[in-house]
Amino acid sequence: MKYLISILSGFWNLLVGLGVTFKYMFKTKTTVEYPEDRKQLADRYIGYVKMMYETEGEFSSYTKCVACMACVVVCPVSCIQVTNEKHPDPTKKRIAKEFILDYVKCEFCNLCIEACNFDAIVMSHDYDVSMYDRAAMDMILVKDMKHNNDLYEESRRQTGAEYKPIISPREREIVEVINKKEYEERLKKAAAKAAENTPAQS
Amino acid sequence: MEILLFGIIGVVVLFSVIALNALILVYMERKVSAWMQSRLGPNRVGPFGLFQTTADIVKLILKENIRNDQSDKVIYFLAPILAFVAPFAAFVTVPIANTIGIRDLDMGAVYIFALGSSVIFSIIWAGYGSNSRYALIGAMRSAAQMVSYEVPMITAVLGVFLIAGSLSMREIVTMQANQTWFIVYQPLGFILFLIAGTAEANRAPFDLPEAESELVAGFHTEYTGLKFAFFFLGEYAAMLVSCCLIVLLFLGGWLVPFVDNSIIPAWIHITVFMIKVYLMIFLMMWFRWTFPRMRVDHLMGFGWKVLLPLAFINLVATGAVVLILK
Repeated sequence: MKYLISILSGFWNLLVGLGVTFKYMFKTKTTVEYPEDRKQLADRYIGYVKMMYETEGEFSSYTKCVACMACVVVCPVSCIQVTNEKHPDPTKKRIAKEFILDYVKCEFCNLCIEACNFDAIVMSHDYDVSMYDRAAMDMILVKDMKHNNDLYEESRRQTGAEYKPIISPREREIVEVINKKEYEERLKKAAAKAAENTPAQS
Repeated sequence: MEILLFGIIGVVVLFSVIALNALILVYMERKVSAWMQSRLGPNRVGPFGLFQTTADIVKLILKENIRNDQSDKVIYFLAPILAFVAPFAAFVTVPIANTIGIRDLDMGAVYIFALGSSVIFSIIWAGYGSNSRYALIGAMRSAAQMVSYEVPMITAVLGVFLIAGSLSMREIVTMQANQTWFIVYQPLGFILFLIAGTAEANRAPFDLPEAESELVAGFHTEYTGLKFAFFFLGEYAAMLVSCCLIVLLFLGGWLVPFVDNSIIPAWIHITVFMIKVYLMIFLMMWFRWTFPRMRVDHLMGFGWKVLLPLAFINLVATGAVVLILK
C-alpha cells in the first residue's frame, strides 16, 4: 500500500511540475533583443563618463570644465589627464583645453563626478563601447576647449546618447534636507560654543 | 521490377518526409524549450526563425569530418548509419491513414519493436568505436537502460494486443474504430508505454546515454559534421516512431473521435494523425524541459521496481478480463 501511495504521489509531483512549465509558456518573455531593444536602465546607472557643454549664452558650446583638477586629484587610478588654458570668458579663470580619460584604467567608481563642482562631467547610460584598438580607449572628451560638432558627435557616440541625472530628484531632495539639517545643527553648535566661551573669557 | 520501383519511390518519399519532420521538430523543440524558460527562441533566420534548422543542417554538412586516430574505423563509420536506418525502416509499417502506408505487415508491431531495439547497437558501436571514455560510458548506460525499459514497454503494450487480437498496425486501428480508443481500456498501459517510449527514444529525463552535463555528449562525443547530423536525425526519427506508435496503439491512429470514420476522406485522416502525433511530441518535449535527468541507479530502480510490476499487473488484469468476456 505504501508502495502504491508513493508511486501515486510521485506522479502527482510530476504533474505539478508539468503545470509550472506550462504556465511559463504563456508568460511574458524576459529576453531583451539587444541591438534593437535595450534594457531600461536605472537613472543612477553608471556608464561611460560624458562631458557637458554650455548650452546658452555667449560661450555656448564651450566646455563647462574649468580645469580645477578636482577629478584628477580624486581619481583612485589616475586615469584622467587635463590640460588648461585661459578662459575666453573674462569672468572665469581657466578652461580645459584637453580632457582625456583612459578607459583601460577607469574603474567607474563615480568619484570624479562627485568631486566635480561644476557639473561638467556626468555618467552617461552608455555601456556598449567596444573598439579594435587599445589606444582608442584613451577617450578625448574635450579638445581645444570648444567642441566642434564632429568631436561632440563622436563623444556622444562614445559616451552615451542622452544625459539623465545620476541622482533621482527624490534622492536629491533627501540629500538636500540632510545637508540642511546638518548645516543648521552645526550653526547651533557653533552658537552654543560661542555662548559657552564668551562668559569664560569675561 | 515493379516491386523495386515501388520500393525506391517509397524510400525517397519516406526519407524526405522524415527529414522534413526532423527539421520541423528541431525548430519546435527549440521554440518550446525557449517558451518554457521565458525566452524567445530562434527568431533571426527567416520569418520567426523558421530557417534556423536549415541553416544548422547546412553548417553541419559543410563541417570537416574529424575522426579519432585510434577509433575503430568500420564500427565508427557504421554507427551513425544504423542510428538513422533503424527508425527509418520502422516507418515502413506505420500507416498514416486507412489505405495509406507503405506496407502493412501481419507482425507489424514485432517488426517495429525489433527495429526500435536495434538502435541500441548503433549507440554501443558509437561508444565502442570512437575509443573515448565519455562515449563508452554513455554506451554502457544506454545498454543498461535498454535492458530495463524494453521489458516494461513490451509488457505494457501486450494488453493492447490481447484486446485487439492482432499485431498488425492497421488492424489494431480498425479495432479501435469498432470499439473505442484503447486508452480508455488501457490507461495504465498508456502511461507505462509513454514513459518507456520516452526512455526508448533516449530523451530527457532518460537521456543518460547523452547526458550533456556529465558526459560531454555521451555516445556521439567524437562525431562531427554529417555523422553527427545523422545521429541527430536518428534521434528525432526515433522520437517520431515512438509517438506514431503511441498514437496508433492507444489514441486511435487516424480516427476522428465521435464521427463515423468510414465516410471521411483520407486527407482529413492524415491531418488528424499528424495532429495527434505532434501533440504526443509536444508532450515529450514538455517532459524534457520540465524534469531533471534521472540518476543511473534511480533509473534502474524505477524501471525494475515500479514500471515492471505495474506492467505485469496491467497485463494480468487485461488477460483476465479478456478471458472472462470471451
